[in-house]
Amino acid sequence: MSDTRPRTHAVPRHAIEGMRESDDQLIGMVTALAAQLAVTRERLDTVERLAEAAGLFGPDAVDRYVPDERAQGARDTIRQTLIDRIFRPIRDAAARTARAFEEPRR
Amino acid sequence: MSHPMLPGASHDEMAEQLFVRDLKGFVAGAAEEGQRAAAAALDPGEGHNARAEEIFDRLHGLASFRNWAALRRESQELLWDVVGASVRRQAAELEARAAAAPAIGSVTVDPDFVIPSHLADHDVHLMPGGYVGDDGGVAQGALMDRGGAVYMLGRNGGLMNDRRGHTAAAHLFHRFPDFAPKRLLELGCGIGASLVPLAGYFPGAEAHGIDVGAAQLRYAHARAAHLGAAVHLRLGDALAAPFPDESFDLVFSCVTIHELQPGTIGAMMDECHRLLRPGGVVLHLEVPQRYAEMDLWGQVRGEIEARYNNEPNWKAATSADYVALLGQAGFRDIAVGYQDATDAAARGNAGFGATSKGVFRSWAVMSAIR
Repeated sequence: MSDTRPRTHAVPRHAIEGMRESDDQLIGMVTALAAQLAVTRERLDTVERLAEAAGLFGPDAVDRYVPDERAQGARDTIRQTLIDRIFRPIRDAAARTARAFEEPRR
Repeated sequence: MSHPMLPGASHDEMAEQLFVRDLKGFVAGAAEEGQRAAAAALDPGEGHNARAEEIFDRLHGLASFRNWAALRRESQELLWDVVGASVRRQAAELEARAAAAPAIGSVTVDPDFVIPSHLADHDVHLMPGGYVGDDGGVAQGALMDRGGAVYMLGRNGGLMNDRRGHTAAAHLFHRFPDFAPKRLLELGCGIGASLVPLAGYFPGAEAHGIDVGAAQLRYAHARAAHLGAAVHLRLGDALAAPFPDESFDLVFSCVTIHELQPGTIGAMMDECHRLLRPGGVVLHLEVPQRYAEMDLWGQVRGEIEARYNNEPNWKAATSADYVALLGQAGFRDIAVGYQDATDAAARGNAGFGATSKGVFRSWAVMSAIR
């Protein structure tokens, strides 16, 4: 019987012949990092355009800002999600290794 | 244009999806030209009996190729990662929208359906869970639809992803201007992006579709119903469709052949013959390349797709002799060629010819009469 449960990784995933697994993971991380940087830049651009259009604040106000507890909590979530995304290849590789060790025992 | 079932994208999700789109553009641009040049330099020559395969093998000796191939695959994995996260965020809302769809059409899920072995635990295009992944709802279909829209980069009818269905209809209108099927079937209908537009050209026809994934079908049904299309969908294998002999006036497929088990294209043609009434029409639409006419790099890229993008039958689908296969299945009046991609088919419209205008501008079509 096939496994049709949802999963977050595609199978099979063939090694790129001659490539070190660690290099493959590194490229994955750089790619994901670049994606997150693009998102951040785009969001910042939106904020700056909206703020300027509304006559609300300039860059100095951003520099002076100190987050309160609630804001800090939200920022923690943002940062942890970012880490989860960027370092996904490490997590995926660990899961593949774990599965490889589990399979012979089945 | 869009439709109510398509997962949306927040500000940041849209930025991520556009990043994937543009990264894919980067990978396929100057960086790929360099690989093409390397492939030409490593060519063992026309006399070699597995030329493209040999080049593919030799390219792995170059770090520049390995890193490019890794980035190419990573762009695909990132696509599913960002779209998957977006779909999971909207999961409850998508299920609610599916439940609110008009009560037209049907979905039939046979619990004893056996997934074709080559698609079980083999995620085509690296989509996690593949065509068969199923959470009991519509999520896997939503992943397929939104991911497909990002992957196609707007070249297959934007967020509707339906240009292939219009193109298939244009071919029918070109070859059979008076044809008016009463019952039609799509093999490998996926999320219904081709079935809905094609059925729309034949109002009153009973439209059926089969595919191998229950979640794809639930999503396809809701998507179609929201668009006002009554489609009847069921789990089924294109080589053993769950219908009696001579059930349909039209049996068609859109880019299904290159996802078949290698070696089974003839069996699919036989199945189409079985399903059609005498005088019925078969139509298949496929990628607009012929392996033998492809340049060397195109053939090498096919090896890359097969190995690193889990594409099972691309080489066989682009190499098959469809005139022979349709003839052996018992069809007559066989036509094989290319149909111009269109968003609006018109009766009697031309746009069919012997040469491809290129990827996303033409689709290969094979049609015949039972």
